[in-house]
Amino acid sequence: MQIMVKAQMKIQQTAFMLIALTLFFILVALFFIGFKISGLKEDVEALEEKQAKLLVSKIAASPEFTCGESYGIRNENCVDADKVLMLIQEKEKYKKFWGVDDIKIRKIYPKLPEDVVCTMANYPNCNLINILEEEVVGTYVSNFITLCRKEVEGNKFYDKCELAILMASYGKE
Amino acid sequence: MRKKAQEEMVGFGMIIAIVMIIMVIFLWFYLNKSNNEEIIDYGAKSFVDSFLDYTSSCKEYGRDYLVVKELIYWCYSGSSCEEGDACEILQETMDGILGQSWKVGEEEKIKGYSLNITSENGDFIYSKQEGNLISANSKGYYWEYPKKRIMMQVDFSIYY
Repeated sequence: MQIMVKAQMKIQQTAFMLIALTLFFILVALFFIGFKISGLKEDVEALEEKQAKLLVSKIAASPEFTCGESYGIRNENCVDADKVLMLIQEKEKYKKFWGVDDIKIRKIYPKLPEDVVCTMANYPNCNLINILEEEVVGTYVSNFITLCRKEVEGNKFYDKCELAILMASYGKE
Repeated sequence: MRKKAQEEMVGFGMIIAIVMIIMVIFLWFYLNKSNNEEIIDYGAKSFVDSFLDYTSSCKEYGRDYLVVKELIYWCYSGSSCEEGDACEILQETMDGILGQSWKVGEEEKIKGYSLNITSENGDFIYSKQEGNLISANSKGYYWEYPKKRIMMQVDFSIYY
């Protein structure tokens, strides 16, 4: 009888111990999962932002946009404004070329008092180049670029580079 | 019976201690990893790369207009442009670029920024801080480039 009680006590003790251990590991697992999930949302946002910036950089570095060696700049974010102005004459051919819904370039410095859309008639006295669409399409992601062109002073050409942002839209609402 | 119970309590305590140590090691690795990964901001990088190639209004006597990258050295070496003092033109150009590029404020996503342009000797060539720089969440971009054997350093930080 004495041995029986002792054995029951032992079983009970082991059972309590197992329950305590299980509860403890469940708490630890919950802590880990909570910690991971809290960082996951931020990671996704950061990754999306990084990808968007990289996409814009990729567009800026494409042969249709990049300055190449024309301005003595080796900056991957340098866009040739003269080239882009020619490109907008052929915008229908490029509608689906970059896999985005719209691309715009906005000159930010020096700043003009109001938005002036670039055309062959007013270039370079303008600050907004609509490359694919005339209107605003969805949400835009942007990145800084150097917008360069050839400028004439007297009878001499020189390189004029200004600060702009290149905006690309996925059409997300 | 009491001794055995005490031994089991010690065993349980040891398990808790081991799990705690593993958790601390995991946390240390996790925090270290995220700190290393998130320092560079791609917006800040493209901004620095772009403004350094901006054509300023400073014209080298009888030659071309200087880009900001060259104007920084021009200011550092105490040279003048056709239009006036190189440092004054650098100050005016950078104030304009920063003012038009970054909107800061307590209601904005970006609370503040700081830009320091220095030589390798630590001499300040241009410096500007705007908004709230106390936020612990900051990212940025550091770039240095050689100009006539002197390293020019550009350090730009954004505070969220």
